[in-house]
Amino acid sequence: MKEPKRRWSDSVIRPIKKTLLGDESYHGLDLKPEDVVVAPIGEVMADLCALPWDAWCGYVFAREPLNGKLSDVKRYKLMRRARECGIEWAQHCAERFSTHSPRKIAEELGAEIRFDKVPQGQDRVLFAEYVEPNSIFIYDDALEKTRRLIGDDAVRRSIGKGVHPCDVLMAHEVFHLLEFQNKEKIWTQTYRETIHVGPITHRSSLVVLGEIASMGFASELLDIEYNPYAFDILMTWAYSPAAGMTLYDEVMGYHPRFGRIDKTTAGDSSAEASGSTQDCKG
Amino acid sequence: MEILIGMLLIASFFVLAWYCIKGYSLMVGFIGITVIWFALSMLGTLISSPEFIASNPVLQFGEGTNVTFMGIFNEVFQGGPEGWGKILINFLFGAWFGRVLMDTGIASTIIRKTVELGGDKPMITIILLDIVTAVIFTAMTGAGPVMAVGVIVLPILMSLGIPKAIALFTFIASVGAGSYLNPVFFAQYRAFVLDPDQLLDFNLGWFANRWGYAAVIIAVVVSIVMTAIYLKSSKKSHAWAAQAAPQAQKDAPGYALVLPIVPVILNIAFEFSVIAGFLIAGFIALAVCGKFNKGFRENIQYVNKLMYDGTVDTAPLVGFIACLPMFNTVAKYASPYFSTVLGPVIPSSELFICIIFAICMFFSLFRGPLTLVGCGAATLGVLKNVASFPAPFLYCVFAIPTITGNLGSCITQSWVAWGISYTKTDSNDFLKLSVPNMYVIGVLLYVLTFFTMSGLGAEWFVQ
Repeated sequence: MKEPKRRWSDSVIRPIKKTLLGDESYHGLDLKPEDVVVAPIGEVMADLCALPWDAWCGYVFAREPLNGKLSDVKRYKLMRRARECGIEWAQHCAERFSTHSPRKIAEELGAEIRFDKVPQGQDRVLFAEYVEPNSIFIYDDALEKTRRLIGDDAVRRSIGKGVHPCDVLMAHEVFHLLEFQNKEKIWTQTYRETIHVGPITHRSSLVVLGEIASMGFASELLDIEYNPYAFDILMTWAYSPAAGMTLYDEVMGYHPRFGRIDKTTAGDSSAEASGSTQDCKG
Repeated sequence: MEILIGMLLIASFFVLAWYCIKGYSLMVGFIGITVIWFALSMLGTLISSPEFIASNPVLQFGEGTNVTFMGIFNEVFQGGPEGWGKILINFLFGAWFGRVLMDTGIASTIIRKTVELGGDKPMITIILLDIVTAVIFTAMTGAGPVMAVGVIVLPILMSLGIPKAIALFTFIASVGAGSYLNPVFFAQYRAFVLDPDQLLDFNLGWFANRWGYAAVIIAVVVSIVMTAIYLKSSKKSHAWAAQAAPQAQKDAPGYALVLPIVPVILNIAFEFSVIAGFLIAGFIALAVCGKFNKGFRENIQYVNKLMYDGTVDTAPLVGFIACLPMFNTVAKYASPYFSTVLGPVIPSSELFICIIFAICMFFSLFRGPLTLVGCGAATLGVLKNVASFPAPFLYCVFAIPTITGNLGSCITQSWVAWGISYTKTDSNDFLKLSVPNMYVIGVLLYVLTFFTMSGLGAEWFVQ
């Protein structure tokens, strides 16, 4: 087929106009929600649950206010140590209270548990909260929306059959309660990093360590091998697939995507091990 | 009959107040009130006593004068909005500059460095962030930049265990504090009191030296002290929430970090054009932060995009700002009727005005009768037409409720509404923190206003 005949003005005037005035169709480099390529949630979760813990380092530390003062080597080192701290405390709690149920441990520790339905926006999705000294809030809105997603076989296979987001949220907040009750003993609370800002030097704790350790605590308690940060994406996806996908892209970086990671069904074994069909709401 | 017209005008004022408080469109509200006031004022000339008309030259038109009805009509509906074009353009360039500071990473670098200085100590971080936020918002304007800085500052504050309502309160209060020296807001609110070409000595430099610096310091210090008091009685919290991390950006070079205050300094120190200040600082920022490295065509497209984004940021206010001058103009024709009814009642003492406004600060909330970005424009119209006050005094009297009450405390303000949704704060919890702060700042600033802006002399009076 013949191309439509170009007028002389197309080749002369338009480039000059574009150069001087810019391209009227140009809206910048920012991706808008409609520009985000949304992959099936099953494939997304398969990728995320197959990622090793270290691969989450960039995503996790991007939320640390003092991130700019840490080297890559230091970040990996701290991530591993914080995870170990969470695992140690999970083992300690499981032994002390003879249960792997985060809800029972929370109750043993004297927590007041509340399930609230907080209306959510898509820019920041709130899942759960611990308020000193002993209040744990689990936000139902996020859980309800996620429930539909975990009905998907592929998602369920990835996260593990017996794993419920509610348990993961509860376990995460229980660790913050432990941090409060054991300020002097728990590594995430005692560790200090030396920070240099120009001529000023001070020693500061890092808030992200408590978050990583909480994830380590939850994964050990619920016997899941992947990083529970994967629920960030799953539960955000429940509100907005585009927002979830943006987080997914941030986590994956240069890793191969969309189910191309050969996952060795780590979640499945945990599912059977956990065996529960009830979540922490009972 | 002029008393009846005056009463009807006052009744319509209360209808407008109710309308604004209900949260309806300000633009439509001000078009409506303009039409009503115009109709009543013109109708009044037909039924009022001849003595009343004779004593108010502004109401004389038609035969025997060189003013026509159509001239007044055009002055209200055409001349008013056209005259405000200058203010609107300042707004657009201010928003463009805000986008430049965000896109170049200058604002985020300043915030990051500040947080690194504060470390894990919430109160030190709050003090530093409040000061820095106030300084940044002496130049940045609009909801876009507030949100863009908010998505950096708020997660940091919350990650330090600061309850979400307190984090939001302290951030918004410091945005409000900085706005007292913002040249765009100054030009905008000044135009409510005076025509842009009148009383040129009342400029940002004069205002800043006499009142503005002290106002910013008072507002920042009170906000920090109130935050400390609130924190003392609050419980630390840790939330598991997901949000996109701020885009990883290279730190802006150290010398670029002073650029946010360059337009303000140039304007205050040298009476330099605000827009030129924004352009100079903006283009320097783009150049030194490596944003001009893509080739000529892409570079200008990029500058266009920033203007596009900045214009979108100001869009919600543009309609209101464009229609408000109709109202300001028609208020001139309604003022004789107001004077007839309210003249004997409204105090002409500056001290009384300061006391009444300080007590009534609550009415700056919900677009009430004290905020210029609500129906306070009508209150100002009444006040400046029934008594004589110096223009700088009137400016300050209304800037306090508009900035501290509306921009820095009210849930009807676009960026406060965004912050409430972003942090999942209950709006009542936010108001419980912001209202006491608003009153403390308000009282102190009215004291400052009385001592610095009253008794300025007839040459400063609103004509």
